[in-house]
Amino acid sequence: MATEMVMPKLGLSMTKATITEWFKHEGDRVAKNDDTLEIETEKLTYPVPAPTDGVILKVVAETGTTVPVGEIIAYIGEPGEQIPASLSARPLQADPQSAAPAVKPPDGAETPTESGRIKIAPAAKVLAQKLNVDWSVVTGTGPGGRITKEDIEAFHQNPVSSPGVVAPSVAHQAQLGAFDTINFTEMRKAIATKMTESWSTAPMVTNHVKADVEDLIELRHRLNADLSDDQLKLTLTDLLVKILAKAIKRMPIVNATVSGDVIMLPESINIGVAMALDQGLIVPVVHDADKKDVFAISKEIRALSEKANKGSLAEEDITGGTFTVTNLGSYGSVDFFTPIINQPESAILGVGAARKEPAIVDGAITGRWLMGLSLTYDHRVIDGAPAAKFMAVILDLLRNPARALFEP
Amino acid sequence: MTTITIIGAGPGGYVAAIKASQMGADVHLVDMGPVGGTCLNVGCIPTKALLHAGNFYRMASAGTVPGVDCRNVTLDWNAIQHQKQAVVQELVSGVESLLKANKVHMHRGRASITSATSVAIDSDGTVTSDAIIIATGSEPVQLLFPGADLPLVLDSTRALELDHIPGSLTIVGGGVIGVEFATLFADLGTKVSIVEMLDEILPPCDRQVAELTHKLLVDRGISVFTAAKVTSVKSNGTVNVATPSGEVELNSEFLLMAVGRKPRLPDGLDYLRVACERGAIEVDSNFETNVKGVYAIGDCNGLLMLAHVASSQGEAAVERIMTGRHSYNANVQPSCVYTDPEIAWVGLTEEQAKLQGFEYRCGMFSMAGNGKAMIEGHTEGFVKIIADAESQEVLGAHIIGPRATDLITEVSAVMAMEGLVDDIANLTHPHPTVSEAVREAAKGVFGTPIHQLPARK
Repeated sequence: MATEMVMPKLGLSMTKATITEWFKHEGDRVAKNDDTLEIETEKLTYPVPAPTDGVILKVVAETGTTVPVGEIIAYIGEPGEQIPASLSARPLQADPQSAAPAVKPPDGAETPTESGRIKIAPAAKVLAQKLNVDWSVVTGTGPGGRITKEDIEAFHQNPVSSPGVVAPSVAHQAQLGAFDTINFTEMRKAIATKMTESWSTAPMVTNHVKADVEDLIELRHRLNADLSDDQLKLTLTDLLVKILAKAIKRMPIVNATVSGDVIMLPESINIGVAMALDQGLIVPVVHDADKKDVFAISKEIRALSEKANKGSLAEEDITGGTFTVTNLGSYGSVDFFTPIINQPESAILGVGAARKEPAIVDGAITGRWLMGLSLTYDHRVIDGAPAAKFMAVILDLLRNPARALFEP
Repeated sequence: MTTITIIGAGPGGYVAAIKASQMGADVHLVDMGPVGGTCLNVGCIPTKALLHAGNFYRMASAGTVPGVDCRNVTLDWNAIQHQKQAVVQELVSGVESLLKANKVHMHRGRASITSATSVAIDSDGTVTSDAIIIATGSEPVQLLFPGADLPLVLDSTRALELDHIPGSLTIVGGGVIGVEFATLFADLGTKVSIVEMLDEILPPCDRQVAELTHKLLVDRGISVFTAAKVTSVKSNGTVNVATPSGEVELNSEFLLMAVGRKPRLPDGLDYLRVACERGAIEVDSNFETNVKGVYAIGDCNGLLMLAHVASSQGEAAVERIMTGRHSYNANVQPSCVYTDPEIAWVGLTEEQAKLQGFEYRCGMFSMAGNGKAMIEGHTEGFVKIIADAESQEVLGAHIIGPRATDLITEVSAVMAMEGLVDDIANLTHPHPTVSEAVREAAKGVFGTPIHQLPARK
């Protein structure tokens, strides 16, 4: 009997995933743990290894299909081995007669807009006008992505388009002329949803300050100089995460999470570090940053970054954050910005570029390393004064970074 | 590799087999008889071959084209039969080579389903597969009345093989098969009577189409009895018919039973507990039976007993098995009747539109206003298009006229794309063609055709 290959559960909150690519196909031989396909959840893409040695006898869920955790996606065995017909003959797909097609169809049908033209059946257009449905936001399920009456009806009953995304009007699209379209990936949809949710949930204020990081940079140089070549060099972010953990300890309100009617103050200080991937933004979390030393933090951030780039972050790597730091400094083009809070957290620190700038020290003008810091906070939880106090704590710690980093 | 066993090599089964092979499946096809099923061997193709000859004969001998003198036209029935058989043979071997080229495993024998994944073939062991498609077709319904078992009582298969042209023929049933045979033998000079149980012939047709066809059959010398029943037939050819105006006695060399067809079911359905309803295999919208992995397509599921529908359902079942989706649209399956002139329709009849509560409008255009139809001497007939009064979507179309069976596809295409009446009415049709009548009928739904007198104010 062939081995069933099922949709793996790669995290506590994972209930389903979309198959983005089969690296191996029916008839291909695979070895156990060979990467066989790639799946995409709301957060990440993951390669899925083969559960056993053998030949892929049957792919049950094709590329583009969204499959619940635990459902069979393929059979692996030796040629000639039997596959249960009742299952193999029933791929996991919607009944075409009853599918609610307002969302992207499972076969990844073409987008209805090609060179700006929206493909819609004439009767569907009439129905859309009658029901007052803007068909430019409806995804078509007909041949070539054409919008059908059924699509309009389904959209009318359940008007969901890509979450957090409002499509431009037909008139607007008409004036755009030719354009390419990019389909929302699961990851981008998740980002769109989270950002929109944050924007509409929290009344946000951002405080800006220039911090003197002369001593921090000096310290970083000394620490890195002591490290041998094969050891990982500390980054400014590594140091900042440790210093922030210490600052949060003194001002725990910025570590708050709004949950229904209460404000929770978690004991753990778990600092998310925003990372830019080609596909979009991801925020891995350094858990208990206050309890780890800066070298451990550095190592952990490096490991998370590598996993993020390989798409192999685990669910627990990207959940449980209580505060986030986002550093755009390395581009050299940003001093201040207004980051959006990573809900359900209450504050986020944006870090700008560190520059050598004229500063007054002991009454004399001198060149100092200065760095822009921008703290966005949820005014439902944090008022202006405590936010200003928190920034003061950070500045204070930055004045004596060695103590901040190494004093228990 | 997915393995599919298909039972029945008719237009449903063999098309499904080729489609499945094209989609990468390993295919077993089982049939007792030659490939092509009823359609190719004893149905659509041979009847049309004979109808073609009969029509040609009548056109010539009746002097249909003024100025062309075809006196002394003769019929060679044997040659006609030979030609019919040649066409059938060529098509059968064409299908055989297609199946072979697609590497379909052909099994000759009687199939019985032994499980949801296995089929036993009496001559050839058992094949196992991931899915089974039942495509066993249908067989003629036999009515029971005194004399129904006499040798002069024919079914459609025997009627195609008669060794001579009968002097007289009574056809029981005024449905599609009945009126086609009536047309055929009337063309060949046979004295034909039709006995239909219902109030009008061609029950599935739009009533206006049926009424005109009735008139045209009568004009051609065919006796049509409606709301009538054959009560008995005797070996001397006496046929007793009960009509609303009393008992009628006909004298007939043969009697053709054309009262419809019933699904033919394979062995093993009871054992597998495949659900049936009124003799037909029950299927869902994917043509899957209540037994997972077992599908039924074509006549045997009783949905719509037409060859081209069986083919489309076969392809749909295969698509479903191989991809989980299919693209069959039950609302856009055309029907054809090969009378002279031909009849074709798609979608709703006016009666159905009314019954289903549609606010609808009809557009009609007579073939008498179409130049090409006039040239060909076919001014009887019309195109009728039915559309939703509000949305203007095309709901159905009915054509009776020259090559109606070829013309209907234009409307099918528009309906399949959820088109509106104006999509047809605004489209330039080539001139001179009969298809111009389709455009004119579309114009007539919400306005007035160009070649029609305006309604009097």
